[in-house]
Amino acid sequence: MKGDARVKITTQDTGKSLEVELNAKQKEVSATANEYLKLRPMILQMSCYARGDGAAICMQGDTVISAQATGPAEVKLQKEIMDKATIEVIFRTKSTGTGGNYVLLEKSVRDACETAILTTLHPRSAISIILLEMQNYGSLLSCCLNACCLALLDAGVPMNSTFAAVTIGISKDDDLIVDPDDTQEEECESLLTFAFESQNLELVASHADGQFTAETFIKCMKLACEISQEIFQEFRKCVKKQHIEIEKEGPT
Amino acid sequence: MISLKDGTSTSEKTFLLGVLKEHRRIDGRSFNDARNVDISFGKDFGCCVASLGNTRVMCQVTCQVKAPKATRPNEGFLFINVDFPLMSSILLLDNDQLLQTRTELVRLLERCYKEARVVDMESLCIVGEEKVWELRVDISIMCDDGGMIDCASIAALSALCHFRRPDVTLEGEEVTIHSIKSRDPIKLSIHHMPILVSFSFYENGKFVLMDPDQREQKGSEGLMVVGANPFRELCTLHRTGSVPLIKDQVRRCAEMVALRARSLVGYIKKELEKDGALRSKREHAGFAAHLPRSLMVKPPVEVIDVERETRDIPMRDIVQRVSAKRTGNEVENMSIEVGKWDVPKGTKDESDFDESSASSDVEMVQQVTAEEKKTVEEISIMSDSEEDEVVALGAADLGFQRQKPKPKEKIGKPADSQALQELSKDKPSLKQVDGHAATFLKTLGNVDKELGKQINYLTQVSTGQPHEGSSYAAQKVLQMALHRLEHARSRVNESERIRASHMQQLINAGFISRPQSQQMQQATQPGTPAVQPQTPQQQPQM
Repeated sequence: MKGDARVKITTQDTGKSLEVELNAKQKEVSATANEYLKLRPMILQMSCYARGDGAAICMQGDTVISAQATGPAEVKLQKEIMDKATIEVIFRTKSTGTGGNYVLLEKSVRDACETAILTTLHPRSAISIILLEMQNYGSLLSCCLNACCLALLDAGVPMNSTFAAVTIGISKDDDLIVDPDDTQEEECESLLTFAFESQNLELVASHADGQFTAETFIKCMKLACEISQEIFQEFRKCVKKQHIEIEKEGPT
Repeated sequence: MISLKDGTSTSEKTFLLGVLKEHRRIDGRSFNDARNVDISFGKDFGCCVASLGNTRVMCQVTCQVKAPKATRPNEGFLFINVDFPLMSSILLLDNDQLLQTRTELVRLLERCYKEARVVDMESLCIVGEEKVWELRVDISIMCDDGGMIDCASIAALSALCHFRRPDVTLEGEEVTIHSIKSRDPIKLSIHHMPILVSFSFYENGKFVLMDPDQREQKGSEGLMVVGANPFRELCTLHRTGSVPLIKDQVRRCAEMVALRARSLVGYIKKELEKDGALRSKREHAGFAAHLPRSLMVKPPVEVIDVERETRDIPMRDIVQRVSAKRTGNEVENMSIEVGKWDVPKGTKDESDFDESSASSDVEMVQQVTAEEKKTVEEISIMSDSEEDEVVALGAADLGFQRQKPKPKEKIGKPADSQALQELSKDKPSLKQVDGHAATFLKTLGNVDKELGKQINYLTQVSTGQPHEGSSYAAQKVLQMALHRLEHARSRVNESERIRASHMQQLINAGFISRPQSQQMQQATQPGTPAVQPQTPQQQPQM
């Protein structure tokens, strides 16, 4: 099934110019596999607060994001949509004094959520997601997306599929860096973030910064797709752990 | 935090009280136990997540350069802000309540950390009158399960201790701020480390719970927040609700807070050391290394020992007294020594009160109860009113009267300026000008009246007095005291005379030998001092 999905992606997005077979691609990845093509250690935690519908903390290396999902709940009149749920995403920095515009980030996360959540199930209601920055050391967007997905899972919001995001940096020598930290980000010429859904491994959201060629974009996308598998594995582990905990607590 | 309005259901309340009557708490702690505390520091300087049971608070300290206030040209700023970023984890859905809670939290923290001078503000000065550091303490309440203020204070204190500001060098008039990477940043100088702890009261103060959780807080009749540092110095006292408290109860709580502050500050210092060691080794520091440990879904209820043996004010006594007070038969037993408390202004009279009650006469008891009521009132005043008002009360009515006319002048100015503005227009509307002029005249009249009053008052004060008005009250008191002294002296003389005459008579009659007359002497003596102790105590009331 998974193999099929990968083939599908290559045919869908790369077109004729890049007919790379799955096996060949895996070889390519393993050949260049070095430190830069690995995710930073990832720690996930669901239901980390005693109150609220759903919450999760996602740590990718030193980047730590806490997400909270609430809903479906009452919606403001002006934001009401007649046939589906409104999704609100708010990003909060830990200190209010330092400014910064995160509207774009909020929008990217919202777009990804809108494709994943079955919004038509809850018309005229709001599903709100709050992202709280706890530590920002690179790859902020992908960490936000991952935390958001986990929080939605924890809140029990009906979804088409889960999604996982990977940030890839392209350095000046066209080397790829997966999940770059803040110092690596500074050295990178451009940053690409991709989010894939779990069912068919199709692209849910992408965000790009800086200059790059179409080829590198596609190369990065494939790499990201590969790596998103690892993140899905982490998600599964986390959910499993959570359920074992709940089962343990059950009798008491 | 203080959500008394939206109380709990009756059945929940009765259950809570039923449990308390069995000397238990819902989560299995004893009355004087707090929930377990966990602190983890972030990779950024001045970032800290503290959890107290299920309550979790994040705090980030940041700094920036600003121009100082003209009144304090060589002092920095400390700005405290409280926010609820993860809204649904706070059970206050009402916007008004949220705002109220937020203001209360900010004010309490300000009182504890800003007004108690925890951070050395003068060390935050870069160039006098030009540049100082502004510290910004941003507190985000991530999850509320009662005791937000306790947790916020722990987070804020740890973050302040953890924070380091960039180094600054001065060359002539040029100020260079070095980045954290180029030069080692500098710690803040912290004078002392106070901690806030909340208590909740039930059944008129019969049951006192330390560190109540949300359910306990909601079902309580009153709450008290006490701030103290490990040196047993009281920094904050705040009370809400309508429970009459015995003075000893407040003291007992303060005592417990001091103990808790000692253990907590020890823990914070230990964690700081750990973090520092990791950083000096250039090892992995920050949330990623520490948070997983503290992110357990339900931290086990572990007891941070409040050193129960050292309690010198037994709870049983208080319970007895509370119930006695309600029936009206009060028996005071004031054998408890007062600790070396540094009590802030409003409650300073505690110590002399205890000295007087130490003699424990039967007559004294009434006085004691009266005074006790007074102190309780004073405490409630302190807790409800703002700091400024307390100062205003202390500074006698003189200053208060002088301030009065000022706001009225301020109202007057816009009226006259408005009138002039209207006149200066091309087509002034006479009606409006007239209206403004009338209001201005009215305010002028008011100002005139107030000034007249003031002048009258000042003439009264200054005539025949060598000094200015401010010492008038003190002189009056002195005069009264002198009068009373004279009175007391005459009374003593009189009794002395009577005693002498009686002695003479008895000796003349030969009824009484020497030793019995000495007993007489002792018996007559308490009569005279009974007048004397009243004089110093009445003086402050005058």
